[in-house]
Amino acid sequence: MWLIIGLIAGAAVLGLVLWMRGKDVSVKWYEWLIGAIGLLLLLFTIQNFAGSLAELESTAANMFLLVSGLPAIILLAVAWQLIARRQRAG
Amino acid sequence: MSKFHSTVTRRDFMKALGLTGAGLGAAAAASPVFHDLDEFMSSPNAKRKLPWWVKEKDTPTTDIDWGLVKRWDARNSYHDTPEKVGYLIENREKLTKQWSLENKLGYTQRDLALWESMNFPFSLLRGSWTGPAIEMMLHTPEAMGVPRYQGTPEENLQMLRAAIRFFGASDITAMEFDGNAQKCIFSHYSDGKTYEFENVDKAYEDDTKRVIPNNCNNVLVWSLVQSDSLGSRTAEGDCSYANSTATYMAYYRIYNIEGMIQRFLHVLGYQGLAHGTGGMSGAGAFATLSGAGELGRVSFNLHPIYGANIRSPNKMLTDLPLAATKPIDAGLKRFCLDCARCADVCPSGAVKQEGPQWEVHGSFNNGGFEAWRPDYAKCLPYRGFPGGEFPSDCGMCQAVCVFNKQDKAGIHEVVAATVATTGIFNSFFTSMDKAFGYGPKDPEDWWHEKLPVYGINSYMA
Repeated sequence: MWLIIGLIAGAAVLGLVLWMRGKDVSVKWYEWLIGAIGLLLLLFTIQNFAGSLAELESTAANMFLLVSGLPAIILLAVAWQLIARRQRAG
Repeated sequence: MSKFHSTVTRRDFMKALGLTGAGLGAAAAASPVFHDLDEFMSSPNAKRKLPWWVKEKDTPTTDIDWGLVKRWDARNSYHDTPEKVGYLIENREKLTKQWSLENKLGYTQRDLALWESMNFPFSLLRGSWTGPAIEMMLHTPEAMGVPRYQGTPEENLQMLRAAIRFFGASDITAMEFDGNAQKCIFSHYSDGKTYEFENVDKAYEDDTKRVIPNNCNNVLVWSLVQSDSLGSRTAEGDCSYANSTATYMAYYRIYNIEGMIQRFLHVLGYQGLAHGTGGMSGAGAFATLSGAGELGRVSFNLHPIYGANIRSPNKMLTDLPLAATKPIDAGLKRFCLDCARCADVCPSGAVKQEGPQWEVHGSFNNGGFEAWRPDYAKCLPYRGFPGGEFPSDCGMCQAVCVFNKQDKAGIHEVVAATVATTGIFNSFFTSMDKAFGYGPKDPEDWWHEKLPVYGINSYMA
């Protein structure tokens, strides 16, 4: 599973970087940091959600969505909005 | 150069394809291929693989004063005396019928059927002291007139690990059977016979005693994981047949495996003295001393991978030389100091909330070490015994243990490694374990879930 997740995540990040270069979007270091933490948290959530379901621990699986999945989405959204708003202002 | 077209030439592609093929070929060449048992047992699969956070120590995490340890008399056991075991009583019969009619959760008719399919004469659990009666059919070195098998202690342990894992046990440890360890052997078994040490070549049993030859100076400990998918089916606040069924299934397997190990040793030319799960010594003693786990709050031996979900670390004395494994410290006992989930759910109050003690609660406990000792006088009515509150054995303390985790979700490894390193997060982890819903599950759901054979994830460890 990690191989597939790694391939998808790597392809997504590569696609994002290429797309941003094409659109001439600049990203500050702290935006990279927030985005990277959000992505790691998202991967952590996916692994533990899927793992918990495989362990027949449905409550734990849902708790992972709440406890680590939600912060992951928030961090990724913050990174996206910081970049988007600066682009609009610039 | 275009950004939108591949810059890989056909030549580069073919080169990469060739390298990939070479890589796969090298991987295939490096893969293990076993031509005989010698190669098999020397493979990494036969080596004990402890997680990296488990520390091997010279002494166990349980404090022992060997000067105070005395050989215990198993006639004082609350479990084994004939008048306390093996028969149904009026109260139990009444509840069995009543709950079946009421479709009580965990005690429905189909739960009862599953449970009673595992219910068999407990006398079988005692196995055979010197080995199965069919020994005369085995091709022992003695029978064939050939020398017995010879290997180094390390090779022998690896060989046994390979064989016993194949038989169905989960973990194998060993230790020297020295003067202190001999104090772990009961003075008497519940049938009144004594365990004696004698300077003879072969073990034997007569009407008054079971004899351990002085040449049997190694202890083999094998732990058997039981089905946690069934064992955890005990709704919080109540016991169930389901939980008890997992226990009894494990006993079935233990009985068979014990005989297999004895036969294996006999064909190699060695002895294997065993007396089931309840005979010869307490279940946790040799397990704790040989590193099969740490002694936890319910006096269970907590395994670093399977937690409390072990059915009796089993022990066998043998004259086959074995390399000793060391006691371990994975922070398990330290965690028990801060966690009391087992005590919280214990319906009888037998599992104590306070810390470990040197004192004993009654003749059914043994002294000489600092530990949590359940009060079996309180536990007994919940174990299907006369006057009991429940028809089946209660196993809720075992079902809720925080360490009973599978290996699919990566968080468990993070928690286990942290627990082994520091105790400052123990209370937090206990709270999270409850918040995340780990522990008892609905017994009814079990019938609809896709589960592995025996309900066991045999890939763990």
